[in-house]
Amino acid sequence: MISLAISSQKGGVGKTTLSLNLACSLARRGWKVLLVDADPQGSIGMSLTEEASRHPGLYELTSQGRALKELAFETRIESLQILTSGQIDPAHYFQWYQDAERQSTFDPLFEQAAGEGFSIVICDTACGVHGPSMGILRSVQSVVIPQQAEPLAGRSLGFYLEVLNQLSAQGSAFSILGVVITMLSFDSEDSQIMATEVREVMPFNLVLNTMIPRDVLFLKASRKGLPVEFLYKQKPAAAEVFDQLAKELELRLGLKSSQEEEGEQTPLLVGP
Amino acid sequence: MSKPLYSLDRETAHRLLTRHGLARNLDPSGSPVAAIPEEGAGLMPPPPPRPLGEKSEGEERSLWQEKNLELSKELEKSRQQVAEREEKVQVLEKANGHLEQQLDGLGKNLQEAGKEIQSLKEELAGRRVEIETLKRAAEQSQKEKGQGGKLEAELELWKERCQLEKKERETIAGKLIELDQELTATKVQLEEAKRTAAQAGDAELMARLRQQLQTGRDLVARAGQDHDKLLAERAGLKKKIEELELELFKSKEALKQAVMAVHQARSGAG
Ligand SMILES: Nc1ncnc2c1ncn2[C@@H]1O[C@H](COP(=O)(O)OP(=O)(O)OP(=O)(O)O)[C@@H](O)[C@H]1O
Ligand SMILES: [Mg+2]
Repeated sequence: MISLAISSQKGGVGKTTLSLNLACSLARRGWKVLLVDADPQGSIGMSLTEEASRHPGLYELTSQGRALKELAFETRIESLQILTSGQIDPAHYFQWYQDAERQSTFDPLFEQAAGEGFSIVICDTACGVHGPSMGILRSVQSVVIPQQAEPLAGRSLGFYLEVLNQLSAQGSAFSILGVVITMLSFDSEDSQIMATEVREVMPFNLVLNTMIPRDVLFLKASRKGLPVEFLYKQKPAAAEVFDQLAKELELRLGLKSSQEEEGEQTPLLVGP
Repeated sequence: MSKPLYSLDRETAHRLLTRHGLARNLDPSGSPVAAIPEEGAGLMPPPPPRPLGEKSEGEERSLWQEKNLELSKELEKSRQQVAEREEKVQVLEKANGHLEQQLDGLGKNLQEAGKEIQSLKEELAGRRVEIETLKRAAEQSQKEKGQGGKLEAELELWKERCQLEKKERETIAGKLIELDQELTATKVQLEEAKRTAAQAGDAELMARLRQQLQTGRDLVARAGQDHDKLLAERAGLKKKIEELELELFKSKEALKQAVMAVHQARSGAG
């Protein structure tokens, strides 16, 4: 089983958007995917349905020993399940937040996910490295860092690498799978300069080739609480960006999707 | 161009990513070895067929898809170019570093030779004073015509000192010849580096190299100037030494006469 955290120092860079849409693409490509909302604000649960936002989830799993099997939501995509952040008890919030910095808090999550036969667990985190975001980083194998292609966003990357480096020095085993440039604006030279800078500064190929463009489609999708692929009858181009990203990440993870396997290749025509 | 990434540079990023294994499988040039995507992975797929009837939205979307594809290709190309250029520049920088080191050594040698010449000058000045003293002593003794033995001893001392001075002058001349040879060799090496750069044929690279060569040339020119100055100084010194030698000769003659006078006085007395 592969465990993946989507994490960044800065807020609002597109972590949740990336987590949700990437999880859909990976599931469509044949993987059994568990999407975990490890942001106490519950952005994923919130952006989906009313019911989801009131459902128990990760909090109950980690603090009350509830089982993943009874907590995870099924979705319209058969091989995708979602574990929402849950109903955090305000009285126990500080204690849980502190506990959540430890790797052991999330051991039951990953053990059960492996037991349920998930092949990929994707964790959406809150920005920064503290609380559950820290515990998740300590537990996962790989981290994907969305980097917003906007001038102000550049400030956080150096600091963030320093912080991750500290975490590694303390013995965490995760490695950076890639940096994804998000919200790239084709009309803005500043946005493109930013994307180029990131590629120049980071080691060759650590920045993924696929970039997520800035598009009103994402706002529309998040208002409706949907992954972009469900917005129109025909899958919009924006969703294909995530297919492309999924493909690139599969290569890096050494996974071979069933979509890549050869079909029967019998003739297209079956009769007059 | 402004610096959107502030304090983060390539070296810092690489250090942070490798020190505790944040990024795995980085090869020395910084690329994750196992992670190079195959056959155009990461590039956008071709735009989907436009749905019948629908127009503006589909069109808009396929437009940014195309742009994304172009941008990805462009980035890939320039990333490769940068890598190639860096390699070339590194080779030439190494050669240049070597030359600069040599020039440094040359400069140091020149400095040392200058110091030696300075101390020689000082010594010569000291000798001049001594000669003056001796001259005066000779005159005195000529007047007194009494203490011939002491003067004889002083004459011996003088002979020794002249010998020493001659040897020192020869050493300095040898050093100047050596420096001359080193300068010539460096110039030849710089010419060679220039030729290599011309073969590289890259405009940007050439500009950078030209600047490096200019620095090298400036250093050589400066060394050459120092060399010329030293030669001029040496000529001046030679002249002064000749003058001093003449004075010395005269003073020696005076001494000789004084000594003779002392002997004559002695034998006359005996
Ligand atoms: N590529 C995009 N183009 C346009 N808008 C986008 C894009 N990606 C995300 N957005 C919008 O930007 C806002 C922030 O995105 P998102 O919630 O995914 O970021 P986040 O990193 O998860 O934020 P937080 O740090 O608060 O969790 C949302 O309103 C989202 O719809
Ligand atoms: Mg979020």
